[in-house]
Amino acid sequence: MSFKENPFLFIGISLIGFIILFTLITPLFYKVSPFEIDLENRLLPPSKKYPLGKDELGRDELARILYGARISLLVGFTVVFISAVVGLIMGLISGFAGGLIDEVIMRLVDILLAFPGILLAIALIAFFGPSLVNLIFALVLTGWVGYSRLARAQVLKLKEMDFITAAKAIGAGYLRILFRHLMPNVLPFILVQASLGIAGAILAESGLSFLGLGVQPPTPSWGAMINQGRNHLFDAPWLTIFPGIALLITILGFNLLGEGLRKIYTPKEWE
Amino acid sequence: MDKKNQGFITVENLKKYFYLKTGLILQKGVLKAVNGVDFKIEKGKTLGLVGESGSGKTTLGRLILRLIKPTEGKIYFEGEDLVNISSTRLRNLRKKMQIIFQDPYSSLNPRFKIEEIVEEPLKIHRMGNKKKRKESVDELLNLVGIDPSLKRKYPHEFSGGQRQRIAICRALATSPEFIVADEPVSSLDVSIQAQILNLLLELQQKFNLTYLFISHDLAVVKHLSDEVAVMYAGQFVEYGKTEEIYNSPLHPYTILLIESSRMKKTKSFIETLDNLENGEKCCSFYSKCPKRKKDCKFNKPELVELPDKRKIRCLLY
Repeated sequence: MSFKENPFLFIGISLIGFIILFTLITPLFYKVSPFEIDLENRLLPPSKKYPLGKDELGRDELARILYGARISLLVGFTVVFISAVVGLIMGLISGFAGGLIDEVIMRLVDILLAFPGILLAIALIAFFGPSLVNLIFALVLTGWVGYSRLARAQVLKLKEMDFITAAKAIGAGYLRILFRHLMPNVLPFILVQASLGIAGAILAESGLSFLGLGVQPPTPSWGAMINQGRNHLFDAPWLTIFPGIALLITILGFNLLGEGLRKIYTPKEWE
Repeated sequence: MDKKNQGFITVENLKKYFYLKTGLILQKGVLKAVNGVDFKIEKGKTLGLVGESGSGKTTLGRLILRLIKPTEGKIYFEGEDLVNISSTRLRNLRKKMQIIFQDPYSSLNPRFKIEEIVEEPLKIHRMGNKKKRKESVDELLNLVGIDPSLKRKYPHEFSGGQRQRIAICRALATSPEFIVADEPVSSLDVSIQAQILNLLLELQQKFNLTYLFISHDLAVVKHLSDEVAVMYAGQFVEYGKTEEIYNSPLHPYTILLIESSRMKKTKSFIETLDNLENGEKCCSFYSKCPKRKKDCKFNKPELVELPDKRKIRCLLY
């Protein structure tokens, strides 16, 4: 595998690697608290001492972006991981079992799909109250359906193939067919979808935080920071631009990674 | 039924209907894929099953292995009833009966290495320990002519013929006694076909295997079979010894098949009728039969035994 064969994968990994290293290494020598208020220096533009300036309460912007990265990545990975696992299992069962079980699961999926995802998330958070855990819960609840449909569609396709009949003919039980034969053939599709989904989840977290429904102040998150910076778009644009760039690089990175993985994981004979 | 009276494989009045939903309003159609089939196969022999696509050959093959459930009828394997059988017993019996598929590109799991593909049946039936199984895999691969040093490769790294060898290898892993070969060479190049057929013959002699050999190619079936059954619309229309059927085919459909396989221009070509007013009552081959008579339209022929022991389903005999 070379850069030329799959540039998406390399660029994607580099961007994500850059963000992760940046958020892990920089705090080692840049020891400034993201919570310390310094009203005398509010809205300070970027300078040597404060590389990305200060926000409306005089908190250090760089420190907040670094801290916000943890929240964004945490939400992105957790939401996608739980959604993908739940969706994969539901999709496998639904497609393999068929009949009533399939009908029940798919109607549930239809119900959840009928809402715009973000709207349902807003409703749930409004009901349970805004917090990081509720945010993750709300995003998972709307997130798993996509994975389950994808998994089900793959299972329906694979189920008709001879190697599944062959597995039955050699005496394989349901569990073996489901987990040894079907799942490994479905997993790559889920993995690709998940790497694209991380970008979506980070964006959804930012969106909800922007609306004040996500992470609560004073904890910084990229979306919340963009929201706060909005009030000073003209007098202190760096407050929106820098978290925006961080968000852009991360999402671009995961999207490219997803595209790169898709290329690798499509089995040669199915291309 | 008396065990002595039975063949190795005995099938009686086997039927499989598929119920189709057609149209918006609940209209139900019935597809009679297999519609009353009887036959026996003796141990170590081959029954060739020919017929056009859609005649129910594949469905019949899968019914006998109980990969699908029959609508009606009996299947006996060494005298054991396969229709009313517990699922545990059936899974246990699966090591004695195997299947080879038509398309070696879809019959091998693309995410398994070939050693895993061949080892899986042994694992399922808990045959031998890990080390012994590894040895058997090498032995089996040698047997079908695949170099065991290639066992860590994936199916997509092999050609169609090699893949079919691997599929045969998997089928042989548990030393079965009965194998359903469902058009095992139709998707292969002509030059490879002969190799695979010879391999199947060799294996039959070596292990005293019993085959149900399904094909639409009469030449292939003739090469392998002791007996031949010609299938049309879910029923046998002619069933008997291979030489007799090839040398003197009687049923109009068999004649058509043999003529077309010899690349002769079919003299007996006849315009097919589309609409059958009384489809249920008339002979199922009526619309395409070159020798049809008035009677055929109003009578459904039964499978009758001729003096030479061949069976035929036609009013002319």
